[in-house]
Amino acid sequence: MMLEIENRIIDFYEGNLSETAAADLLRQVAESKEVALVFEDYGKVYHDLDQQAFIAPSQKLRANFDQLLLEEQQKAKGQSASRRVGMWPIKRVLAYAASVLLLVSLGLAIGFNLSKNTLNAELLALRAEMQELLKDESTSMRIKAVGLTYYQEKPDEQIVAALIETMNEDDSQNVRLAAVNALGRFAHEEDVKTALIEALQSQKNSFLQIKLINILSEIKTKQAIPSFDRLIENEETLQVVKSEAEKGKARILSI
Amino acid sequence: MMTDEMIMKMVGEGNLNKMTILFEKYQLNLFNFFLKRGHHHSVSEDLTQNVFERVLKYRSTYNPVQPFRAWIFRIARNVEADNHRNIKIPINSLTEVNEVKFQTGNVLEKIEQQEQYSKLRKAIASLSKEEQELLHFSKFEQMKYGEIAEIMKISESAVKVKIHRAIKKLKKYYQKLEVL
Repeated sequence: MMLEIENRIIDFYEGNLSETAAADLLRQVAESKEVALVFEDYGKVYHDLDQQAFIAPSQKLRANFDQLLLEEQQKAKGQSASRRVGMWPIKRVLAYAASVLLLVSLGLAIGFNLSKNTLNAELLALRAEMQELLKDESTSMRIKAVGLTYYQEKPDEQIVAALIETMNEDDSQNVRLAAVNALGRFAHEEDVKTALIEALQSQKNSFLQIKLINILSEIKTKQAIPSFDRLIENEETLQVVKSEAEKGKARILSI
Repeated sequence: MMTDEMIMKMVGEGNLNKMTILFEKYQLNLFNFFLKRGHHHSVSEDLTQNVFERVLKYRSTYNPVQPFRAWIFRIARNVEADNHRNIKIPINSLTEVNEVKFQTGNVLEKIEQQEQYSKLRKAIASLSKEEQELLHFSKFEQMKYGEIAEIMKISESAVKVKIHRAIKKLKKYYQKLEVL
């Protein structure tokens, strides 16, 4: 009997019970002290599972990936070049290239308006989906909203504004960290840079502080140094954050 | 709206720059997948890098019909299985890794959070590798059973049964700790 109740309790926390079954279980929890204790025990486990946070890798991971991608691109270029050489005489290649260039120019002129419209529609759809997901109660949905911004190679004003607001105000540390990561791609933009520096003043979470320090020191912005100094001088700042701020400052000031 | 599947298809067709989008989206999740499996910070970074190496290596074999997330996590599981170093840090030294995470709030909150997290980590470490993965995908990645089934190549009903079993084990472990 208790085994069956345990299974239903787990299904409840897993979100697998219908409304009726959930109501029935909660009634049993209210009526039986034994069931209530088991319900509470499982509640503790699920509570702790839900509290797990993301831990950030170092900048080394990104640097290694960039190197990997560069090597792969060079390999691919080398292979395609060696396929072309020796196949066609050079004059024929040049004539072909010239005709292709002419066609492409014409095509671009015709296609520009069409692609511009498609681009706008895509951007509008992205903004709308992002705004919708950012309102969701579930942190994973809000993280997904932030993840959508990676489809934008260039910064869009509205999307950047939404990311900044998320970084500053979301309840979840994980969502705020995801927003900081996403903004890091556009850190060279003045408004993003300013927002990241301001966030360094206001964010008290040490994870976020370290991430912000890393981004600002990578772009070597001297505007961030006063904020770094304030962190270093503040007694409440964790030692690990102070060390990162000192390293970051040295990096910015290095030639 | 471009999906991960469409982006990976473009990578497979030679547009390698698009791989950056997928890297930015999945690096944190993959890194934490390896970290929570007990690997050291730097080993987890290496394993994450290996996943992206394989994604690039096998890019032309990717079929956009299959969900990308399931595909990349299958690769992650294979990378881990192939990992010869197998350098896992002892459970009690995980406190250093998580020190930064829990230094918020007042001192009593910090201590309580640290203890709770340490308890959870020890409890999860007592599970089988499969059970750890199931809980990671379900609770950390918030995947549905169907997606987990796709990654682990088991049925959806098997996912449910195994998650139930894992949760019961965690609860028993918690009770054991409370008695001590």
